[in-house]
Amino acid sequence: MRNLRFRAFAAAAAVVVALTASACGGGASGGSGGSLVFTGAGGAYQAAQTRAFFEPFSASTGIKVKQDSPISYPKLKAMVDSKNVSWDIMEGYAYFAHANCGTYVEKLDRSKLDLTGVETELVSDCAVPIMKSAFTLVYNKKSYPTAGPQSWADFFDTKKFPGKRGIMNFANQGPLEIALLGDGVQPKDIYPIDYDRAFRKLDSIRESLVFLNTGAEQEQAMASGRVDMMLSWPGRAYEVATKGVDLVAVWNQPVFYYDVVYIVKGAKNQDAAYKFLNFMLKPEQQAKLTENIAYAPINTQAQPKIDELRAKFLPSGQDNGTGFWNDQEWWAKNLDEATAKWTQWAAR
Amino acid sequence: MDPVGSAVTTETLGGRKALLPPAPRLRVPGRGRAYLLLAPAVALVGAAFVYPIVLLLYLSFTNPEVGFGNYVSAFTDGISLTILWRTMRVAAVVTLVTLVLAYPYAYVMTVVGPKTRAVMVAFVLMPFWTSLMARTFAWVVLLQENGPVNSFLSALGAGPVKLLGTGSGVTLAMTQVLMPFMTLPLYATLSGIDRRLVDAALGLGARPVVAFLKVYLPLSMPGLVAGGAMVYILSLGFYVTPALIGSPSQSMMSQLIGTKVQELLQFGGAGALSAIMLVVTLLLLAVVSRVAGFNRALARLEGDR
Repeated sequence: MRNLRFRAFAAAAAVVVALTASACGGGASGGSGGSLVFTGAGGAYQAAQTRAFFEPFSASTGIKVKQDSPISYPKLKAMVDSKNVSWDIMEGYAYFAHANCGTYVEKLDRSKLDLTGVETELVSDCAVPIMKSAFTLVYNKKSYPTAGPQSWADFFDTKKFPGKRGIMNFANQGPLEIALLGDGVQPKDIYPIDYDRAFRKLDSIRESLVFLNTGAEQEQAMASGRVDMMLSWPGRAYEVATKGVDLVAVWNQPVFYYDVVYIVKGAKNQDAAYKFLNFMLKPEQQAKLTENIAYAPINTQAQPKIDELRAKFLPSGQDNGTGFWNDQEWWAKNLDEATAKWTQWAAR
Repeated sequence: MDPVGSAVTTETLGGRKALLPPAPRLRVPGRGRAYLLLAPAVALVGAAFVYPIVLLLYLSFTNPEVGFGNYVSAFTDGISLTILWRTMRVAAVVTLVTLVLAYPYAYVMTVVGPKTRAVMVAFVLMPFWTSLMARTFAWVVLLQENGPVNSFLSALGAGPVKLLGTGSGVTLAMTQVLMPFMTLPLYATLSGIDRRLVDAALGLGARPVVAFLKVYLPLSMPGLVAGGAMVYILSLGFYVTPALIGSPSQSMMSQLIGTKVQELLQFGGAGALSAIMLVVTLLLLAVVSRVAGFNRALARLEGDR
């Protein structure tokens, strides 16, 4: 239960903690090889990172990786604003690092980075990629046993394919892009996003939309049949598929995205942080990540050993060139506006 | 903050007071020093509650720039007022539903034996035994289209009813969570009512309905107002339940504030919304206490004895 005052408290708490507390976290120069603090998304993903990155890194360098979660931009802001930074490396949206390069995120010294094999178009001044995935169409075979939806146009066609469509309740998780694709816009013309057109298209199926807030909810909705198709995080769809739910991933015009890792502005253990960034980008580590969770590696030399089912939910070329990257530049500039417009549309 | 504890204590005391003869005034030695006992609580509330609130208010006028910009945008952004109104409406409905369910329940608690009463109290307190998240997810499973509630309704020929993602679903889940906050204050007050007064009214020829409305109901006002106010205020701040059970069309003020903090990093904007909520809540409380005559009801209860 969270009453008003508790919420207000929670909102201010981040600031207060940063202003008053100084003893916790960070500042870790003790121990043999030193240590650093990594803040990630938590859950199954961070557990996979522990196996792929944290444990082998500590074993080979002696540098301890302390973990924190979740990814909280307000907390980051409060830490940096109060010059009391206890995190060193943080995972997050590529466009967050882009939009806050030099202010909340350290500019990277390229000479200290080893980018062998890394998809260089994903590297920015302030961040390196750590995995890639895609927002893509997943449907339940039970709902459409003979012919399932094959495109975003089908996703918006409730006559041909009746049923509930799940989407995440966030502007930046693909709904605007797929609305435009469903309305016939070509991938190259998606950005800048035409909000009116996108919301008009979304309005046309509003009655069939189910809005979800978390990955766990998304899994539950797909597993229980609450949604018949989903603009999904395929890693989550894979988790559901392993439990015997007959889900089909449609790789037609997926919206590719990637997560990045970056050094928090004013981080105390920057040397260790660079070592760790390079370590995570290595082909072996990237392969290991994919073996532990259904996200694709960003190092082209990575050769993960994965089974057939997992391969179906990993973006690995099945889209035949129809997919496209969501535009990090555009999102860096427009995230706030898009989020405000999304809230206005969704919450009314 | 522990609303349950405080509710039970104050209301039990309020109810008891009505039963006991006026306590003889005792001289308490060292009353001044006794106030020192308050120090830990005051320090905690000051550091963990007053300070953040003040800071948040300050931010609402200064972040990102000094002025009333956050308040202007709250009133003109086309969504904040809608959600504020929705939040107040949902809270009112939940309070009403809770009241209708809790009043008879609390009444029955006053007439049964101690063993049955213990069982009834246990049922009331059950919601506190599981975490809010687990409970809310349980509701998601129960309410979904092929879930138990709908299977049951369908078996009766009344289903399926769309509950998940609707206002009724949210109201249902919120009511369950909030029942104790209404039931316990009500029980405390009802158990303090002298039932001979009702018998007297009946004996003097009042019909049962009249006896209830003219005698029992007014005497139960303190518990009713206390429980109602508490449920209403707690409802205003709900976050997890409308987020998981409802769709965005049911989203409430806390969710909007959450979006401002977590996604937009607009601490000032969040502060302004919180301040508006705080003012609205305080105003409502002032009106309720005046209209419902909380103090008068309490005074009458004591005066009659």
